[in-house]
Amino acid sequence: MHVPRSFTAGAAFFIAASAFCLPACGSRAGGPIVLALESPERASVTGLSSAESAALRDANLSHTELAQVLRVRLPDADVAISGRYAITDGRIDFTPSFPFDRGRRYTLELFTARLQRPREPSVMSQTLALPGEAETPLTRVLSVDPTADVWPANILRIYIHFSNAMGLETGVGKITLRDAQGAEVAAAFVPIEADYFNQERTRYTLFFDPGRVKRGILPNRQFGRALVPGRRYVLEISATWTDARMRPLAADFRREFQAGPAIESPLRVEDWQFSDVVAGGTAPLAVTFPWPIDRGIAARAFVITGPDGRKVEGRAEIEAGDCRWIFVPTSAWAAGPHQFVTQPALEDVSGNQVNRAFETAMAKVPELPPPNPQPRTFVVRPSPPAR
Amino acid sequence: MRRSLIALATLLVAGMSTASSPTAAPSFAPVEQGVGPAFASIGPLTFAPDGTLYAGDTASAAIVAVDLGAAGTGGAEGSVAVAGIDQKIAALLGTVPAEIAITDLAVHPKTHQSYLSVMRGVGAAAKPALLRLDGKGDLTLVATDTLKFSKVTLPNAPDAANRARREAITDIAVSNGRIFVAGLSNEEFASKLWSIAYPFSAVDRGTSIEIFHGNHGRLETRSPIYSFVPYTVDGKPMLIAGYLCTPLVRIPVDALTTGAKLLGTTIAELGNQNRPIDMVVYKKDGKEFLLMSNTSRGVMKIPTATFGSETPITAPVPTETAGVKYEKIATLTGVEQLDLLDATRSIVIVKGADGVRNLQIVILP
Repeated sequence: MHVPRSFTAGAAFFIAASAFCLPACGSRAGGPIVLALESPERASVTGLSSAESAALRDANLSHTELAQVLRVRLPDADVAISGRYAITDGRIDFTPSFPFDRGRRYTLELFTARLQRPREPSVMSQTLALPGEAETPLTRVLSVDPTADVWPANILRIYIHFSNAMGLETGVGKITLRDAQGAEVAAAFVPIEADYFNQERTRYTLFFDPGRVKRGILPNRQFGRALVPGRRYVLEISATWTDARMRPLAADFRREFQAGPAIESPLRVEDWQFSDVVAGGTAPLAVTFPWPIDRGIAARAFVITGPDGRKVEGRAEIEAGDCRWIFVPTSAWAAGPHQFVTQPALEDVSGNQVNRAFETAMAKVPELPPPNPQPRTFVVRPSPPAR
Repeated sequence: MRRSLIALATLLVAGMSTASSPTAAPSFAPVEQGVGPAFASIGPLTFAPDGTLYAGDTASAAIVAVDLGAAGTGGAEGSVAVAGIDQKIAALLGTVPAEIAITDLAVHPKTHQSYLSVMRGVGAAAKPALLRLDGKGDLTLVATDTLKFSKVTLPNAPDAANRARREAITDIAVSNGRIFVAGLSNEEFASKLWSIAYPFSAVDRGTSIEIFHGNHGRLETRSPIYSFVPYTVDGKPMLIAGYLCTPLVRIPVDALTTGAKLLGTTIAELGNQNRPIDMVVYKKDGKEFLLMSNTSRGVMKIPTATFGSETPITAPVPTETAGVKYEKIATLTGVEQLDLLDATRSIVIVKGADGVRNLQIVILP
């Protein structure tokens, strides 16, 4: 049992018996003391008499002193959980600074010697838990981007999608690259423990070690790139990776792919193919790229404005191995020139941007264009006259 | 002082010179001021000399300047060692060590109390917490809801429609009335450095700098900064910046706010498969040193005397390390957080072989 040191050292602030001893009209006499974990936001002591709670309240106890009347802690810890106290008629409420976790056990201790009317035992203690959250299916890997079967040998990053939120563990040690013979390709990824998840922790960004990707850097010169064009590989994700509920994944995950030639050229909007679009309908616009673009960035990289200069609202998807962007407008296309504007953040999976390759001759750096949005005009044809 | 990071992308820079140029039209969000900053997350911390605390909120891509008020003056001065600091923090927050992340440690310049930024919980439900450790070992949760603050949101911040992208703040430093912020993304490979005047104002809305890195002088390869310290070389303000795998780069900052094109210089190669965590500068026996903690190469003590004169590394380096020499501090291992406690001591959080994190006071080497 954990008793606060200042309490055992002496009665620093026994609530003195006073005129409050006689219950006033309408006040409660007190009953069985009940310690309860009522909700994620509240633990409570009930059953005090009105005089007891009034005496506590009028004593103007500090937070530290109140924690020596009612202490809430983890069962195996000697530290009071941070929170606020409120004393009302016949009860003490404790609101933790962070809501109690469902399913976790908490110990509530009432040091009855601190009360106006001391009771036995001197410390009433209960260890309680809120009902746990409903069990959900184990988390699994849903997919891996790029969706294409062929990944460039200088690929910089991939995205791993999960069915539920993942925990604090990083992917280091959980992801293995194997060649066609099953041998591990060592040191393929950035070995840094860092949080590369999205806000919901359902997507993890895995970075290939740029020291091997970039030409001329020592690891690249010593070991070459992790991927050799033409060879097949398997990306393995271990089920030991734990999710936000500290559970392992439902199963190991495997993704086969083939390495292709490195892509060391910038993206160029003039190289992109635009499908024919006719005014008056909502048929999709398809923009086709010569090689895969980054699916993550592509989700926010393109804006279309109409002949009136206003943004064309609609829904977009990436398909064809991340080589085609499909856009379905909410309203019918208007005839005339449209602007397809690419934001400067767009990259392919090898880090090449529009007009700026990932690796550019240093002498060319001063000539690099500023990272501004890149417009490309396409024309929506008038709908043919009805016959 | 910063800098373990809860997030994101990195790219290698090898020995090389660097060039920086301000990009067009920084789009910092308007300054927000008030009482009770609403942190969505809390990461890198640093103090200004007057005791103003700067905190990086990665989830909001914002820098929050906090007047600690009474929290900055109460309690016993100083900091003391705490064994099992992660266990104590977790217990105070009503959870277990596996469900908290200590994201930074910074020492108040006047009280020498230690402030820790912590994320409580995992997944999307994780909540930020700011804690203070005082000279008696009392660990308290700082109630931020009554604190005055001002806040500026960085350009290109993730928004509700783009929740997949995160803009992690990797480091913050204060120098000569400006706040320097380094960041990186879990999507695009762009290097980000921002310079913002403080107090935040609508007049000076900051400067975004895109940093290029020449790969041994031959190729430009973008890369974000993980850790940096302001440092004056021959009377000129610089940032000494550390990147993944682990070049040390000297970047002049006097022109960052003027729009001039800059050239940086790589002065050391400190080894691959590694990234810097924290950097502090200190003096001992009349000499100045940079103390730098790393993820996999321990703690390095680097003399600063040649930072201004070191021959730039512009050719491929045949060995793992090159440039400014350093001494590895063998007695310091597992360091996850590092800051100066005072002129002679540092404060560190060390993860032991048993997985438990201890806060230790260490005489500067």
